[in-house]
Amino acid sequence: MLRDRIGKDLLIFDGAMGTQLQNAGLAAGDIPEELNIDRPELLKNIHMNYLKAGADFITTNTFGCNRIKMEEAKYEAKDMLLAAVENAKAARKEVGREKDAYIVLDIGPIGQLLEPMGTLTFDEAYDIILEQIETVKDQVDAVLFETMSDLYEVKAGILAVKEHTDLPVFVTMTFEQNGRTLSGNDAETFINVAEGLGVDVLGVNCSLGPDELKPIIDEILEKATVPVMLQPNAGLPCLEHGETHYHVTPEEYVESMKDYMNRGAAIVGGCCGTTPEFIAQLSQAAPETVAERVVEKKTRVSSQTQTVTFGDHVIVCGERLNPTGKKKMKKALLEERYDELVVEAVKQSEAGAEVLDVNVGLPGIDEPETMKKVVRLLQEVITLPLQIDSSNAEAIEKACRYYNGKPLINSVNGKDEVMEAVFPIAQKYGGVVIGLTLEDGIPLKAEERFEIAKKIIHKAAQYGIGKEDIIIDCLTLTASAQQKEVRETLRAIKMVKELGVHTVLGVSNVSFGLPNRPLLNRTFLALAMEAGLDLPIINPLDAELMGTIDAFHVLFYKDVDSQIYIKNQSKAAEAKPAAAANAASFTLKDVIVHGLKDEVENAVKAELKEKEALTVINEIIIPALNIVGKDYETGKIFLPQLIQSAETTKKAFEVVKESFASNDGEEKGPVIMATVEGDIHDIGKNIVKVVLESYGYRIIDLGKDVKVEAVVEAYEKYQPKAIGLSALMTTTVASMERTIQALHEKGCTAPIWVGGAVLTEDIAKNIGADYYAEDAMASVNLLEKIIA
Amino acid sequence: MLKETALKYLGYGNQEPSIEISNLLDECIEEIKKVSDPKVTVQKFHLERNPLRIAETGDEIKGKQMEELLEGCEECLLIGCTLGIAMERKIKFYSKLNMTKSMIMDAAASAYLEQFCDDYEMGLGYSDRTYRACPGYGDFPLEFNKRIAAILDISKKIGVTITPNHLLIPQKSMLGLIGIGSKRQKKSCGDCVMKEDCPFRKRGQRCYETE
Repeated sequence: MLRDRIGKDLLIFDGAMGTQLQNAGLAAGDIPEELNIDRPELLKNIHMNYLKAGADFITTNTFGCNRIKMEEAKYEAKDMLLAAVENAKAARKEVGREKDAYIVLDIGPIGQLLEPMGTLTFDEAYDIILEQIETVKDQVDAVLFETMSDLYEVKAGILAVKEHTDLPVFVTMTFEQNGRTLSGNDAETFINVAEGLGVDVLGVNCSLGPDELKPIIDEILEKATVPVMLQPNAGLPCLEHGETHYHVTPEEYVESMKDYMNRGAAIVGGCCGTTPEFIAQLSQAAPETVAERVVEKKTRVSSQTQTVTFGDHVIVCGERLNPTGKKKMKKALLEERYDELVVEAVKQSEAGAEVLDVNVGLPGIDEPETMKKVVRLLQEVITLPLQIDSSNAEAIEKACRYYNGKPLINSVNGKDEVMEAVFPIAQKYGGVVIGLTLEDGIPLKAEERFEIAKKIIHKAAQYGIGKEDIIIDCLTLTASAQQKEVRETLRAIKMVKELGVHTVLGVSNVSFGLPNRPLLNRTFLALAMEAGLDLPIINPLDAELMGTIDAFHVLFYKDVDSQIYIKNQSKAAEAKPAAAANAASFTLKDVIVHGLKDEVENAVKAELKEKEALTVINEIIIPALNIVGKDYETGKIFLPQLIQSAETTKKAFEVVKESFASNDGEEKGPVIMATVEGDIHDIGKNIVKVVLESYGYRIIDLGKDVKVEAVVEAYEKYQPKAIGLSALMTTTVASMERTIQALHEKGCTAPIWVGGAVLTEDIAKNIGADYYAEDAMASVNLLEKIIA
Repeated sequence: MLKETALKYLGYGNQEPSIEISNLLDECIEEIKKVSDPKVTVQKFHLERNPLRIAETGDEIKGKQMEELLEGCEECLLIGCTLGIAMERKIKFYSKLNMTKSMIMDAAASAYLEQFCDDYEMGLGYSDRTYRACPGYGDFPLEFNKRIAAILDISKKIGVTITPNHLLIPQKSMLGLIGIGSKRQKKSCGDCVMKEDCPFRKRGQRCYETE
C-alpha cells in the first residue's frame, strides 16, 4: 500500500515533463496535453525513462487538463486525461514495475483566479477539479496538485479529492524569492491550512532551484507535521536567445538535495529543467528510509495570507462583528448592508486586533447563508484570521467550507451533542475550536470547569483533533451579580493551562451593571493575562484596554526592549491634543467643501447644539454639497475632491441621523447598483455610489461580476427606484445587455441607467438601457430628475 | 512624471491639485512602492510576413495599425508585467475605508505600472524598438491577450490570469508586443474604438505620452 510507505520509505518522483516535451519539439503556446493522443509513444518513453532512472512515481501529462485551459485544444479534456493515464500505465507495464511504481494524476492551477480577486467561484473551481478526478480516479494511485499559487484553489482541490475518493492527496506550492506564492500565501499558512484539510503530503515545486528555496524548505521541514515533498527546478531559469535554460547540473542538484533528505524530506523529485539523469543520480544518492524529523505542534490560525501563532504573546480578538446589543449592526445585517460590517472589521484591524470574531446570529435571519456571504466579503478585504462564532452547526460548516484559511471556531461546550455536531466539521476543514467550560450552566467552582475542559480535550482527541487545536474558555462572570465567583475564572485559567492548552475569555462581561466599566474591564484583563489568558475577546477600539496589553507585554518580558509599547504609547500621547486644537477651526460648510473627513463629526455636533437636525441638512449640508457639485461640473475641482467631499457628507449624514429617533423617512431610493457579470473593474461604480450616498440615496451595492440572475433577484426583492449598471470593457457590454433583457423580461419598470468607459449614449440605447450617465455627477443629476 | 501621469488619469488637465490631494497622491505613491511586487516576463520571437505573424508560434497579428507599426521589424518581443496581487488587495482595502484614497491609488498604480514597464524596456538595450502595443488599444485585437498569455505562460511566471472576457487579473497588469528593428515610437489614436468618446481627447490630452 502506497499510504503505508509514505513517510517511511524515501520515495522518488519523476523530473520535468515540460522540458522533455520541449526537447521533442513542443513550441511556446502549444498545448502539451494534445500530445497524449497525438504522440502516445513519446509520452510512454518519457515515463519509461523516469521509471528506469529509479522513480517510484510517474506524473501524468495533465498539468493543464481542465475544461477551462483546454477550451481551445483540439480534443476534449476528458479524452486527453484518459490517454495520459493509458500512456503512464503502458510505460509502467513495459518496464515491469506495476507492483511498486505509482501513477499520479497531475493537476496544475485552473488558470483562472478565484474570487475575491478573480471571478471564478470556489464552487466552480471545485467542480472543474472534480471533473478531472472523476475521469481517472479508478486508474491512478494518488492525486498531485502542483505549482499551485492560490491556497483557496488548493482547498477546493483537497476537498474534491477527499469527498470523492480515498486516494492520497499531495500538494506542492510554488514560492517566489520573497517567500510567498504569487497569490501571497506564505509557507506557514500553507502548512497550517493544508494540514487542517487533511493533506497527505505537502511541499514545494518549481520557481527556484534547491539552493534558492532553502529558507522555504527549512521552514517546511521545521513546521510540517505531514511528510514533506520537494521538487525544485534545476536552478533559476535563465533566458538566452529567447529560450529558457537551467544551469544546475545533476551532481550539484543531488548535492543540495542530500541535505534535505538527511533532514527528513520524504519524497524528492524534480521540476523544470530536470531530466532522467537528475532522477537517476537522486535515486542513487537517496537513503532507503525517511530521516526522523521532530516537529513541535503549535496552535495556529490562518487567513489566506497570514498566520497567528499562539504562545509567545497575548492575541487580541476583536469582538465587534456581533449584533448582540448593537442596534446599528442588527439593522445592517437585516438590510444586508454588509459593507458596514466590513468597515467595522477594517477599523478593528487597524486598531491592532489579530483575529476577528464574526457572529451574524439574529432571529429571522438565514444564519448559514448570511455567514457564508459575510465571510466571503470579509476575506476580500481583511487579512486577519477569522473566528467563526455561532451556535448553529450548519452556519459553522458553511463558514468553514468557504473560508480561505484555518479559522477559530467559537464554540463547543461540555455537552456531547454539541461536540458531536462541531468536531466533525473542525476535523474535516481544519480549525481551532474554542471549548466553553459549561454544560447546562456555568459551574461555580474552578475545579468543575477544569473537569469540563478535560472532557472537551478528551472528546476532541477521539475525532483526531489534537490539544493544539483546542482553546478553552473559562468564562467570565459578572461582578455585579456573582462577585464571589469572579476569582474562580482566574483560578480556572491557571488550572486549565496545566493541561497544555491555550485559553480565551470574553472580558467585558465582568463589568456589566457597574459604573466606569472600562476600569473594571482592564483591571480584570490584567489579572487574567497574569493567570495565563492567551486570547482576550475585546473591543480593540478601546485604546486603554489595548494599552493594558502593551503594558503587560513589557512587564512579562514579551515585548523585548519595549519596542511595541514605545511605538504605540508615544503615538497615543501625542494624538489627543492635536485633534482638540483643530476642532473648532472650520465651519461645517468648509469641512464639506474641502472634504475634511476627520473634522466632520465635531463640526456637525457643533451645529446640532444650536440647530434642528433638518435645518443642518437643508441649510448647510445640501447647499455645501451643491457648491462642490457645481465646482466639479465647471472644472474648478476634480474627481478626487468630489469624492472626498462626498465621503465627508456621507459621514455628516450619519452623525445627524444619530440624533434622530427614527431616520427612515430621510432616505431616497433604494437604488440597486452592480458591475455586470464578467467585469471586475468596479472602481467607477464605487465612485458613483459614494457620490449618490452623499446625496442621501440608499444604495444596494451588489458588487462586481454580478450574475444576471443576481440582479434580477435583487430587483424582485428590493423593488428599487432605479438600477445602475456599469461595465468597463467592450467585451462585458454584452452581459450588460443580457442583464437589461432579463430585467425587462421580469417586467422591470424601474429606470435602468448605465455607465462605464466604453459606453456612450448610443450604445446605451442599443442595449435597451433607459439612460446613460457619463460620470458620478451626471448620475446624481439624472436620479434627482427621474426619482420623484 | 509619475505624479503628472496619475493626475492625468484622475482627470486633471494642466491644473494644480489641491495640497490635500497632492499629499494624498504622494502618500499613495510611497505605499505603492512598498506594497507592489512588480514582475515581468519577456521573450523574443521572429516575425513573418503575408500574413504578419509570429514565426515560432504561427500566431497572426491582425490590424492595419499593427502592420504599420511592425514595418521593417524582423523580430518582436512579447512582454507581460504586473504589480502583483497585493497591490490589488490594497486598492480594494481602501475602497471600503477611504474611497478617495482608493481612487487616487488606483490611478497612481496605473501610472507606476506604465513607468515600470518603460524602465524595464529601456533596460533591455534594444535601441531600435517600437512602442509597446497592447491588445485592446488601437486596432490590435483584445483577443490577442490570450495568445500572449499562453505563449509567455504568464499565470505561472508572473501570476496574471485572463478572464473569459479578456480582462487581466490583477488589474494592474499589462501584456504587450514590441517590434525590434524600427524606431516607431510615436503613437496615435488611429482607429481606437474610444476615439469619438475619449475623455482624454475631450480635454485635449491623450492617454499615452505625446512628446
